[in-house]
Amino acid sequence: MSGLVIVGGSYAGLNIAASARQNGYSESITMLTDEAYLPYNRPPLSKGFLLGGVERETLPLRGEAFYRDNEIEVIFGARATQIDRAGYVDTVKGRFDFGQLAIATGTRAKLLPLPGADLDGVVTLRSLADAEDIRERLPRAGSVVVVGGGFIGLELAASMVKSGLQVTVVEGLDRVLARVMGQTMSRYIEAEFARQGVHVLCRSGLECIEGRDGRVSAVCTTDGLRHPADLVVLAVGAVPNIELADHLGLASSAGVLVDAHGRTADPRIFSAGDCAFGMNHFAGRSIRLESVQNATDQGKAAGAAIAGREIVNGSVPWFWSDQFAMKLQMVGLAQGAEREVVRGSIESGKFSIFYMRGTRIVAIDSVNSVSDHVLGRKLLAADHSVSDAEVADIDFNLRSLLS
Amino acid sequence: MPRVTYRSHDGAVRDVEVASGRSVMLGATMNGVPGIDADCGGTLSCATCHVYVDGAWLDRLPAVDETESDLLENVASERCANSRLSCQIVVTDALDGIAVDIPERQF
Repeated sequence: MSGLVIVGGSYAGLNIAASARQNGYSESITMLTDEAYLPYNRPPLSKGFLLGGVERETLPLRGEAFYRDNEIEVIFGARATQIDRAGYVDTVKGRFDFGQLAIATGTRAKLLPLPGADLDGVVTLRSLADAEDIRERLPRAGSVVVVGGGFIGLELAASMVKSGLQVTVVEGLDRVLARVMGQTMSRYIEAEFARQGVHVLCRSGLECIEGRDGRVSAVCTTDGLRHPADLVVLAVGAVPNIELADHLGLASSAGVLVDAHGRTADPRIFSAGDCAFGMNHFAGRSIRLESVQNATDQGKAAGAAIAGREIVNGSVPWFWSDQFAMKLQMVGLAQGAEREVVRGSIESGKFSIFYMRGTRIVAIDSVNSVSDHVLGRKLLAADHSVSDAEVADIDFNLRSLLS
Repeated sequence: MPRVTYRSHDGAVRDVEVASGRSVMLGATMNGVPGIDADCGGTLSCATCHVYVDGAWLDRLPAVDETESDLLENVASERCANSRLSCQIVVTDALDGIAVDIPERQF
């Protein structure tokens, strides 16, 4: 048996395939996807695609020519059901033998075990099919409740209020984006959403979802309020798709366990992307990251390893999100930060929050301050030492820290 | 349909038809032109669709705005006077025949 089989057809799967070829892998490559499309851009699904500005034909990450030229065969609708270490994957489209295997199964939207969660009009967003479903529902919707104040929830809320809906965001923690951003940024974003007419409720749990004739009609929150809604979006996070790997003993609840090169404990099996829990050079420990950047860079490293080459994935984690006129960019990992320092003017909507540990910057969250962000991608990867006062002083040239 | 010429670092030259209104980045990613990674899908977030615009065409493009300029500061290959992010070059009939050189590295 020979050849590479990739289970999963999104950013990580594509980058594994592309990197394997770039690094000289000459055997067959087969990508199994449970979707009906070539790997596509997901960020527009909650924004431009939902609002109609981004055409569907422009979503693929690579056109058909790429797969043809690189001899990557894509099997659509091929949900994998079992992997056997004897060297095959069973799917709903039949059995595929492999010499090497990559698990790039990503995540799925977390569901809530609540009464009413199965009503028509209660939706999640993960895939293009999900986005098409939501887009079709928008013209018939008047008020929507978005459950979850994370990136996807907020992006959806922003898009929906722009298209004229009444939007309420229900967040269980005491602020939005609490898992990924500091307090200053959360408060700024909450204020911007309020200004744009989105009703953001924090410290508010979901009690139940009410329906009428099988269709959703309202959401009840733990504070005793009832919010009428004809569309409810559950945006309460993602669950890594680890079941296939777990069955092989290659996963824990943290994710599919890999080293810095995407290798699992089985020398023929690799993993990358949202589902993989692996050694991250920048973090200095194993982590699981849900991001385009990580799926891309970890995928590249895994693809190279499959081709027999080791490349050091030293990239600094970075993320982005566009909400209203806010271009949000995040670089680094804020866990373990001791202080927040503001650089720029919060009032003018152009600033960054620098997360400090000792005299090091460990993360930067920027609003409409691209130069801080791009500098951060270089600076955070390098040794540096800077005082809070220097960071806060816009006349201090942070670029000087690079030399 | 306007044509765009992509010249790769290894010397390969590809002429591709790109519909008006689409970007030079999309022309590459949709037609198998290697070397334009486009990690963020054209949302001015990543700086991995860097190209060098053939001199004759440079002046016909809209100016580089602040965001694009800031991102160009972070490109992996050297930033030159004719550096642009290809997601920001929208193909029109007036740009029929535009040629771009793809740098060696995008990350």
